[in-house]
Amino acid sequence: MGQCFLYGNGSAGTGLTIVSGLTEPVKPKENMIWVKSDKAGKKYVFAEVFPEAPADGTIVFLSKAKSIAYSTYVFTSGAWESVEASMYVGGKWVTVSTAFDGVLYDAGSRYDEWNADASVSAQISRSPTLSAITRAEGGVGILYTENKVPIDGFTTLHINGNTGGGGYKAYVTSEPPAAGKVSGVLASKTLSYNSGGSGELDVSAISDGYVVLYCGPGGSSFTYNFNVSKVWLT
Amino acid sequence: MQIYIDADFKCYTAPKEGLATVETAFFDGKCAAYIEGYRFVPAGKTWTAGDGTVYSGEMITPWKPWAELDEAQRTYERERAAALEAQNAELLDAMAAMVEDVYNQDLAAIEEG
Repeated sequence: MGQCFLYGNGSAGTGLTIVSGLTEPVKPKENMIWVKSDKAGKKYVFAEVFPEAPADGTIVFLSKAKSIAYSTYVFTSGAWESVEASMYVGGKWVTVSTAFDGVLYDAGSRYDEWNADASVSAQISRSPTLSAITRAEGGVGILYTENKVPIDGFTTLHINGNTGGGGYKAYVTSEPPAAGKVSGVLASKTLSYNSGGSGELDVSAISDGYVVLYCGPGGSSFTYNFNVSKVWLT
Repeated sequence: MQIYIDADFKCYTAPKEGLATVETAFFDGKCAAYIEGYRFVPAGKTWTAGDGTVYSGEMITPWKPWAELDEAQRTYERERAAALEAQNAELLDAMAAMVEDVYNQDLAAIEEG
C-alpha cells in the first residue's frame, strides 16, 4: 500500500480551511473543515497511515482513494484521539468522519474495510455477516481489517462469530496476513466452537494493529463457513 | 518452547517454585524481556482483569505496553546479530590462519624435498 502524505497548516491555499474547536464555527466558509476538538493545533496532514513522530495537536485525516477522510485524529498526550470532522458544503455542515466508537463491524456496517485472504481461495461476504467461505483443500478463512486499528484508549476486543466446527482465532498483528499466513502477532485468542464462538481479548497494552480472524484449515470435501456478526472494542 | 506462568498468568522464562509450565511456540525467537511482558491464559482457565472483565483461555496478550516489549526485542536482535557477526569474523580469522599454516607447511615440505 502506498503511503501518500499531504501536509498543511491552517489554510491550505487550495480552497480548504481547517478550523478546530468544540463549538460550531460562527463564520463558516464553503469547503471549510471543522475538526471537533479543543486539543487540535494548526498543523494537519492527509495521509493513508498515521505519520511518525507527530507534534502534539497534529491533525491527521486518514484518507483513501475513494474518500477524503474516513477518520480523523488529533495527537494528544502521546496518543491519537479519534474526533469528528465536518465540511461546510452548500451552506451546511456535512459530517465527513465520525469519532471512532470502537465498533469495527456490526451486521454489515463497518468502521473500515475488511478483507479476506483471496490467495487461499477464500470468498468474502460483508453483509449481513462478515463471512469467509473456503472450498480449497487446506484452505483457511482469514478476515482482516484493511488498515491498522487505533486501539489506544480501549481495553477489550470483543468478537461474536461462529464456524461449522473447531472454532477460530482472533489476533492483533503488526502486519496484514498474506498467502494464508498470519504473522507479526501481538496478541492471540482462541474462540472455541463450544463457547459459542464469542469471546474477548485483552488489548489494554496495545496501541494499534490489524485485527485478524482466522479459521481453518478446511478440507476438500466440505465447505468451510466462517461467519462473524460483530467485532468491537470497549 | 517452555515458559512458566504464575497465578496471575504472567510469563517467566525460568522455572521457580509455584510456577506452572506451559509449552508454546508463540514466543519462539523472542527474548526474555519480551516474554516476561506477556500474560498466557491456558485453555480451560480464566483471568479476571482489574475492571472485572473475565477473559477465557487460550489467550496470549501483553500486559506491559507492547511498544516497550518490541523495543526490547529489537535491541536483543541487534545485539545477537552483532555477536554473530563478531563470531563469524573470529571464525574467518581462524580459517585464514589455518590456511596459511597449511600453505607454510606445504611450502616447507617442498623446500625440504
